[in-house]
Amino acid sequence: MNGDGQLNEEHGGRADAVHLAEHGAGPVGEWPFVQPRAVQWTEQSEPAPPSWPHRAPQAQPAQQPPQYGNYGDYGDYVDYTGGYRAEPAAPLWEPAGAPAVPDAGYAPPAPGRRQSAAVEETVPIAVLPPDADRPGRQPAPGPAAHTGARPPAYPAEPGELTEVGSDLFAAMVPDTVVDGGTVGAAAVRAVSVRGDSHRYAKECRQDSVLLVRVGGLAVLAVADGVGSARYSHRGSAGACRLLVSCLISQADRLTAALLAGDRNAFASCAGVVMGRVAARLQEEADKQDHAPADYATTLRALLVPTDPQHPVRGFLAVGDGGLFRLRAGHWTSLERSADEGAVFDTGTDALPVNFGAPVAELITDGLPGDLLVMCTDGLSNPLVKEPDVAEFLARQWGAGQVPGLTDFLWQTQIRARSYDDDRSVVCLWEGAR
Amino acid sequence: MQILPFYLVCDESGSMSGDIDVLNEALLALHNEISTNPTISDKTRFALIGFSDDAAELQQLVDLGEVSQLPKLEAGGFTSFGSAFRVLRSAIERDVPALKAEGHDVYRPVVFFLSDGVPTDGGWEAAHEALLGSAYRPHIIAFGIGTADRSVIGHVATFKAFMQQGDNVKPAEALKEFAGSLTRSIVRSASGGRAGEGMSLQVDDHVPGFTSVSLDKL
Repeated sequence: MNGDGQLNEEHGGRADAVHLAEHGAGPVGEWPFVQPRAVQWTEQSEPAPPSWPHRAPQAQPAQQPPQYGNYGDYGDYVDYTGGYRAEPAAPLWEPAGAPAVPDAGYAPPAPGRRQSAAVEETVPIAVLPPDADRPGRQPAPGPAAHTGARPPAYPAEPGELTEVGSDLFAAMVPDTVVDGGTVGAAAVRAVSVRGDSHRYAKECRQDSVLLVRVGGLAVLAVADGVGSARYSHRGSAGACRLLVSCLISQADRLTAALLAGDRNAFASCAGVVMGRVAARLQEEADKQDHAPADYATTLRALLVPTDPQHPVRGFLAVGDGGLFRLRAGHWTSLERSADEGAVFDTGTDALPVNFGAPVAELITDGLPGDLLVMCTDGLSNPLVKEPDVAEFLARQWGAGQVPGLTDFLWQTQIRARSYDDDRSVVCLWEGAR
Repeated sequence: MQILPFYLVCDESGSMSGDIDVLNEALLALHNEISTNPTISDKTRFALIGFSDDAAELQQLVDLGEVSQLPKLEAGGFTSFGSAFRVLRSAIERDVPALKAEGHDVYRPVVFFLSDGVPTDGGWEAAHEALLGSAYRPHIIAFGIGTADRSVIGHVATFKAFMQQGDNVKPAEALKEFAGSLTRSIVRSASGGRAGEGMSLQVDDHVPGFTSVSLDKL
């Protein structure tokens, strides 16, 4: 079993339910990657890498970058190219003296050796042959896994880059955003990733996500631009941004309401904030000569006091999406469903014009070890409708450890056929620190 | 998985013989369009039922990305609407529970019904009524060409109905437009009139070469 196989065990859900993609299955994996032999991730026997300030006086003046022209002491030079520490004991350079240079032009690079533009007139840079005894690529999440017998028909990775067209804003929306941080005793991870259908249609991501702290209050927000609204990507980004700016003047009141567990005060203040967000979003649309309805977007936010002693969280929302708790491996939706009898009611409240009173609730029964998951419907739909997705995420996120940012992105990207919408999610691990 | 099933129920009676190749070519294009578009192929299933003296499932409900080609329609015989509705009903009542048993969210089936004449069997209305009485009552969009009867087409449809415009439009052109409208409906319904907000049935309000028929009121 190679490193990839081992990884698959680690990341797998139920073996028959989740299918892990092969490393290098896509074009991205086809680079002729040569692993520098000196890269060590876990072994303790390897001597610790010297720090620059300690090492520098021996080879070059302190606080200066490596002097490529000064290679009198080859054995002492450490190659930090690509961020990896090279093998100090191995010969990093060709034997003393520049290689014989043919009369016409430069020497061809030796097979498998990298060449740096900075030194190509002298000698090829680091020689790092692969070593069978050393581990290969460090386990990384790899391509997204999928549930079901077949993966979605879409390519798993984004296609051609977005061309700058008439909507500059759209062209500059990144395909994927990953973020994270800590709030008091909790840890936060967030992702907003463009859905397969928008990638396929060469449209930008219409979801947005934002994590920020306003005084003693962390604001964790996701927004889902309504698909039929022409500028909903501006709407969702604007809604998150304006939520923060409209919260600034209300942060103390909201925090006090949360700390007192006063739902009514929280709801009334949240209503004021949402009203202002809607008004300002409408103004932004007007300024651009866009119809406000073209900015239609949902907005949902968790407001978390940064004081680790206070476990109450505030939730406010306009429009659909999900709010779940994962406790002891079990998912619970914290939102009341509007109408259990409704069949595929696709209508949704949306800022800035089409909404009633925002949802404003306090979450007062949290426990350390809980995971709160707030997301757009791009994730809540597969989470609710596909048991394999729910189980996969429960295993990944309920393992007692907060995932690193890259792992979190990989986990969020779990693929399931027919679920091709943008996905945005904020996860809050309570008492993780 | 969220699945929207489409059933194409197509008249293969003898009177279609002049134009059946046009329809077969249009189906080829439809297959190509749908099987290569992941937005649609992941969310839709397609079935083909042909009817004349009797009806047959030429293609059972399938992911078009998984079949290399669709079977061809062949003209000959009479126009038994009753057989068409009976075969359609049994197909829907078999397919929908099967998909649900696999854990899928199944949307209400959509039927595109095409005929070029009047029903030649008695009692077809009873079969039609039984179909609409099914627990999985489909949406029916009906198209009439040639000598089809406007009121019959209006009676068959539950969602929208269209009749070929007079004699100035050739049946072959009308058939192309019919197939184009079917393809657009599948694409738009699967892509979402409001993307990312679930699927909702999208059908052209106007189909070139056709006039809209008002539906029977209950």
